[in-house]
Formats: sequence, structure tokens, C-alpha cells
Amino acid sequence: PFCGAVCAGGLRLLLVAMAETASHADGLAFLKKTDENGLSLYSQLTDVLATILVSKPADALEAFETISQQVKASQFSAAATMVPPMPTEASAEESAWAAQDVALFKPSSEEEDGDGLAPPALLDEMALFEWAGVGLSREESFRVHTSLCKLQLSKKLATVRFFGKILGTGKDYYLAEAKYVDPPEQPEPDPDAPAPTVPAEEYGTGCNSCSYFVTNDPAAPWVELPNVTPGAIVAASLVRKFFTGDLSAEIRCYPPFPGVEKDYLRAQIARLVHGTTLCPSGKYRVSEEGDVEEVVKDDEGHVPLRNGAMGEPASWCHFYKGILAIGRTTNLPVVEEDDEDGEEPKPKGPEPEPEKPALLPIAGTAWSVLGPRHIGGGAAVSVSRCLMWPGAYAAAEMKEDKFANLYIGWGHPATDGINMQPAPPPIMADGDELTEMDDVPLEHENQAFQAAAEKALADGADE
Amino acid sequence: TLRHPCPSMEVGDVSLVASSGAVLSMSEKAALQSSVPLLKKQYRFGSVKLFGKIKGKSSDYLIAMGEESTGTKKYFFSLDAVTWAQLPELTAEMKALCAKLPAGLPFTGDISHAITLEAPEPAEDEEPSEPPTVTEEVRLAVAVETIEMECALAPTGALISSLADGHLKANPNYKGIDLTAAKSLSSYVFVNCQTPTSVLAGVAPADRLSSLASAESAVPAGSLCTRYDEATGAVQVRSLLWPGHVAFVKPGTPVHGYCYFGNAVKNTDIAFMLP
Repeated sequence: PFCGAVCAGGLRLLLVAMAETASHADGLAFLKKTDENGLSLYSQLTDVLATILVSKPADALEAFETISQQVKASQFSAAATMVPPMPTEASAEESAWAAQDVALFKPSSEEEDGDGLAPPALLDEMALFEWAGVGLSREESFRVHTSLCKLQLSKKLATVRFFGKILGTGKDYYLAEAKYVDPPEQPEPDPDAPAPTVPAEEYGTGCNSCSYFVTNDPAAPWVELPNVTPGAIVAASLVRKFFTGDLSAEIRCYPPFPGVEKDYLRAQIARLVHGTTLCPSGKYRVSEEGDVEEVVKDDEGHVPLRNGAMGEPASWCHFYKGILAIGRTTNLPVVEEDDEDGEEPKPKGPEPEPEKPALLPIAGTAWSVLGPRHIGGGAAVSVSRCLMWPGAYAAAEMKEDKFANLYIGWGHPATDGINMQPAPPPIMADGDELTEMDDVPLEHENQAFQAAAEKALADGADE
Repeated sequence: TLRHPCPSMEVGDVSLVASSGAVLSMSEKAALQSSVPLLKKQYRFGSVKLFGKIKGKSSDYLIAMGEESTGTKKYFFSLDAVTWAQLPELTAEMKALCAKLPAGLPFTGDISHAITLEAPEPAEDEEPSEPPTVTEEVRLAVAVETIEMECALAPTGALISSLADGHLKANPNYKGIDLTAAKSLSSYVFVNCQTPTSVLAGVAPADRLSSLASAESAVPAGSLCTRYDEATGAVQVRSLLWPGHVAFVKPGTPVHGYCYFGNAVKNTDIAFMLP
């Protein structure tokens, strides 16, 4: 009985001890797990406690985390004794950009002739837009301004304007609209290429009245975009793709776009320019030749608009002609059929759409005009924003006779949420008239080859 | 009230997203310097951050987010950055009504504007009920919550679970991520989306932090694009699904956040628009 009691008690103690050591050992093993530097939580805790006990700080509890961090930092780590790895490519890219950007701000070494060139008014325009909460940051505006000045001097541009920024998935596009002092020779159209059904407008007229330059970064060189064709404009109105930032990227879409991203960008710019460039009413008029010219202040009957009136849609008008459905601003000259029978000559093709002249007042539904915000001294900035092309803004300050246009967006018009992706065409069926024919027998097929070979042989024998 | 962890953006960080077109006017920036601290004091928030701007036809709404110490968040809107009004708490009925609105409908800019929807077919015995109306205030609240739920991003490591109740909050020991990591989408997590757990995985992880969906799992693939803005030194993550939403990180520093400047229109054509 005595042995039995001892055995029972001992067994229980043994079991309890075993259970304790199991959890104790597990816990200890967890604490002693070492990382790659040979440090473990156990060693860290012992070091921290040792440091505290040695230094006995007054506010040990408060300083516990800091002491722990300091102990961690003072541990030996193998990595610290080795040579650090080579700088990665990312840092090389960063310094490349920084070098390019610094070069932008250095004044040009040669004395370049800036006579006759109107400097870009970007900084003034951005000041106008800053009142509306639109635009770029000040540093970015200055960078773009400096870049435009350099572009103007290098290409001898009479006027250059910052059109805006189109955001892309990879990189963004900065766009500039310019007119040359001496327009360069336009490349001859390729004689082998088939003539387009709707020819492009001549350079200097209509959709091609200005040249457009684009760059991914203000410090990078500007690239001139080609002239726009009506086919591209019509195709661009059916396509809705994000820009990638690479001018030579393909556009994968349906209906297929005739060109690469460069042409798509140029077509969207044309649509934006002709749809969203505004000016205050009464500032310009159409001359007898059809050009838009500025109304001189001393002209009779010219009353410049006051700031208070700029809150009305009627005070704004489109600066350029509208684009027609064929992709041009002007209709093609009508070709009449010869009246051989003495009947009325009928124009070929459908009735041409009436042209949309320049300086039409804006539609109140497509634009939202914000009334003047007073900035003191009787001056006030009024801004109108386009609802059809979100991101297009026009601002005016009539007391100082200033107005500006800007676009910052993704480059697409607004949708009403309904996807207008067209369906592919139906699968081609067999033709209507199907006649059955027998297969050509092999001897007849071979006969033709044989005859040709004999003829060649005969010709060869003659020579 | 909504329980989300990481508040969106400090007012002073607007300069980091300016190159994506997200700017504030001078008067707004100046007014925010005083009206935000007042709002914080009035409601005793732990912090008040700027969510962004939702653009309407005639005017824009600035949206601010106030976070209490318990983690609950409240949203406010303002037309002039001076006076703030709280957006209403959302119920399931409100969200259902807003879902019936036509897509792409812009905000008017008038907070009391109401849209009347078609009345539901009445049951046989009931009289025809009045057609339900949705006010712009409710629409705004729904839009802000939807964008916050679908788009809010944070770098991994920036959030930790609170020991008390498991809600996520900012990690005070977060030191930042380096540039290479910042340019990769795998370094970001959606703050409000959990990874869908498969039925085979067994018990769902109790830790909400580890189950946050990675930004790489965004649907459709390619709807988030990263961009390193050398001038400001920040990496921006732009959403193509909600154009105007920008998350940013300044590599090497704990600065991060997100904001939305746009029309509150979801880009449903994104599948066709991706290059």
C-alpha cells in the first residue's frame, strides 16, 4: 500500500513534470530560434535586460522600446562587414533624369535670335487657372515653360502655347501647339499609296492649321506629330483606348485604327482643339477672307465684355471651326456629273453636312460656366469647363484682357455609361450564285504545266 | 460610421499628386489650413484628412475624412473649403436606390438636388407608393464610400492590427519602402478588400491584416498603373477603374496616402480601354 501511494503520487508528478517540460521546452525552443545573423529573441531579451540592469536608467519602463532598438542596432551583422551591392538600375535612371532636368534650366550658351517670336504665356495662364483649382503644380508649370522657350528658339516658332497634358498608363504626354515662322516643306504624299476617299486638309488650314509637339517629360526633346487625316479623326471617334505614353505603340481595338498611338494622339488632339478651344465673345471676328482675326479695341461698335458677364454661356464662343462627320472642317468641293442629257446636274454622294463656322457661341449644355471669382482690385477670373470632354477648361480675366485654354485629362470624351463597342461584322456566307463544277482532272492540270515547260524549253533552244 | 484603418491624405501632401492633375486652388488651400483644425476640434477627431474632390456640373465638393481614436470614420463635404457638413450615414436601402441610377450621371453641384426614380410596382392590395427620390447628399455619400472601399491602397507594413479589437490602424514603426519596391504593385494592399478565401482553405485566418488583398489581384489586371514622379520623388499608383484616384508613396519615408479627384464615375469600359 505504501509503495502503491508513492507510485501513484510519483506518476502524477512525473506526468505533470513531463507536460510542463514539453511546453517549457517548446516555448524555449521558439524563443531561441535564430535568424540569419545568429540572433534570436532569447538573446535579444537577455541583452536588453542586461543593458537595463547595468545602466539602471531612471525611466526604464518608458525607455524600454528605445533601449531595445539600440541593442538591436549594436548587434554584429555579417552584412555590415561586406561590400554593399552595386547600386541598382533604378538609381541610375533617377540620376539620368536629374542630369537631363538640370540641363533644361541652364541658359543656352549661344545667343539665339528671339526676334519676332512671341514667348509662351504659360506662367500667366497657369496663374489664371490656379484660381480655379486646375492645372499643374508651380514647379511643373515652370519646367514646362522653360522647355517651351527652348523649343521655340530651336524650331523658330512664331507662337507656341501649352495645350495641356494627356495622362497615360506608362508615361504622360505634354502637348504644345505652335505655328512656325517659316513653315517647313510638307512631305510629298506617297504616290504608290491609294488616294484616300477624303483627302486631308492642307497644312495651315482647318484641322492642320497648327503644328503639335509632344514629349513625355519637359526635360526630354519634343517630337513633332504628323498632320492629321480625316480617316484618323473618324476612326478615333469610334475608339476609346488609354494612351500608354509610347508614340509608336499599336492600338489594339475594334474597329481597327489606321495607325499607331502617334496618329491616335494627333486625332484626339484635333478633336479636342476644335471642340474645346474657347474665347470670349466679341474679341474676335471673321474677316472677309474667312480668317479669324482680333477685333481692334478702337473699332466702332466694339464693346469688350465686362467680368460680370463672363458667367453666362453666351459670353464664350468656340475659337475654331467645328469638325464635320467626314473628319474635316470644310466640305470637299462638290463634283457635279456632266449633264449629258441636259438635265439638272446632280451632286455625287450624300448631301454635304453644313459647315460649322468659327466663333459660334457655346452650347450651355455642353459647358458649365462658373461665374467670376473676385481676386481683388476689380479683377475676377471666370472659368468654364467642358462636360463633354472632362478636363478641358477655359479661363478669362476681362479686365486685363486675358484668356486661356487648358486640357488635363485622359484624352477621351465623357460617355453616358453605355458601351458603344460595335459588334464585329457577320461571318461571311457563301455567295448567292453557286454553280457546281467538276474538279479539273489531273491530266488536264498537268497539261498546262507541260505546255508551259515545253514552251520554255523551245525558247531556250532557240537562243 | 465606417470602420477603416488608414486615413487618406494629409492636406499638405497634395503636391505629391499634382502631376496627376489633382490640385487645389489657392483659396482652397488657404481655407483648409484653418477649417480642418476647426473641424477636428469640433468633433474631437484624432485626425482629419482630405479624401479629395468630387466634381459636379456647376461646382465641386471637397470631401474630408475624420477618424476618431476608436477607428470609426466620418465623412464631410464642403463647397468652399470653409464650412463642412457631415455626409449622412448610409443604409442598405439608400445604397440600393443609388444602384438604380443611370451610370455616368454627373453630380449637379447643388446638394439639395433630388432625382426621382420610378416607383416600384405596387402589390395587389397596396396602393401605389410614392416614387422614391435620391438626394445628391445621399449619392455623394454612396460614391465616397464606394470609392473608399474599392480603391484605398496602402503599402504593406504600413498597417497593423490593434491588439484590442483587431481593427487596422497605422503602424508607428513603419519606416517606408524603397524605390524598387514602391514601383511594384506587390508592395501595396487594398485596405478594405479581403482576399477571397477558397472553401478548401479551411478556417478563415483570424488576423484581418494578413488577409488583405494585394494590389496585384486588382481586377481587371492592369487597372492600376504605377508611375515614378522624379520631380517630387513620389511614386503614384493611378487607378484606371476609377480615373482620378491616386495612391502615393514617398520611398524611404513613412509618407503615404491616397486621394480621389474626379467625377465619381466608374470606368465600366475599362476592359476595352486597356492597351
